[in-house]
Amino acid sequence: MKKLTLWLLTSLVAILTLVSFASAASACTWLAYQPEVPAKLRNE
Amino acid sequence: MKKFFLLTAGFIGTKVGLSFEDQEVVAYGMEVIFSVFLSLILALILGLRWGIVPEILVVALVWMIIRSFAGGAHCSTLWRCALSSTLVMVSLGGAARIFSTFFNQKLVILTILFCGLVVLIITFIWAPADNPVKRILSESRRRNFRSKALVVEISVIVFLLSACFLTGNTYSSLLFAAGLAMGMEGLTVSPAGYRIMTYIDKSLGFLEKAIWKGGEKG
Repeated sequence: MKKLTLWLLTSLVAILTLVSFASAASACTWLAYQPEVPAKLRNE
Repeated sequence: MKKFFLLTAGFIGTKVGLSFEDQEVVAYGMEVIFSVFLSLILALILGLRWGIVPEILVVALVWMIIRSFAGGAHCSTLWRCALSSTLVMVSLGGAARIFSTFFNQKLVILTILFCGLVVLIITFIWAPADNPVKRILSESRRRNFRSKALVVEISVIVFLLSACFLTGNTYSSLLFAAGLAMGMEGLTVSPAGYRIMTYIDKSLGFLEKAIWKGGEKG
């Protein structure tokens, strides 16, 4: 059970990181609100 | 809302072993997904009520594709942005459904051409739209976004015109919705669109204060 939870959480983190990268690489968030981009993803 | 996402990301981070910076990235992903789904679900609920779901989905798709490269104006909080996006999607979807009943193929083609021309001119002059929380400072990156936005818009126009010629009046409401979405996206990139969005943002702010004191900061 613990392994399954860990696997699910890791998968969730992977998906959310992918979404973050895709959103940070685009000019603007697709449909709605533009949250502040985290320092790690900022291209300065 | 940001605090909630940071807390959730913090909880996941402690289980998986993420640094604080990585937790911020995960929280950002949650906020993006939540805001997109919130707008889409609100629009689809209203779309189901009025029978305009296909038009709303087409508006959302065209808007999302072009906005990824051209950018556009935003409201200052998540709820205001979700509400304004929902209103735009439902209005465009509804308008497409109503007008398509008495628009013939030529008028749909003219609308697509007009909206396409408007979005191309606006993109060429102003894209990518500046956003205070996500600035594109590098000139080469701006040029890159502008070129990609123009290519995407031309592709969408060609696709819509081809679909219009091939299908006749069968999907005129969907093609009309796509044309309107293109025009509206162009408007949100222009300075006039920014002024209108600021006005909508302030109006929704007053409404928020009237409904629950203080409102909510994104």
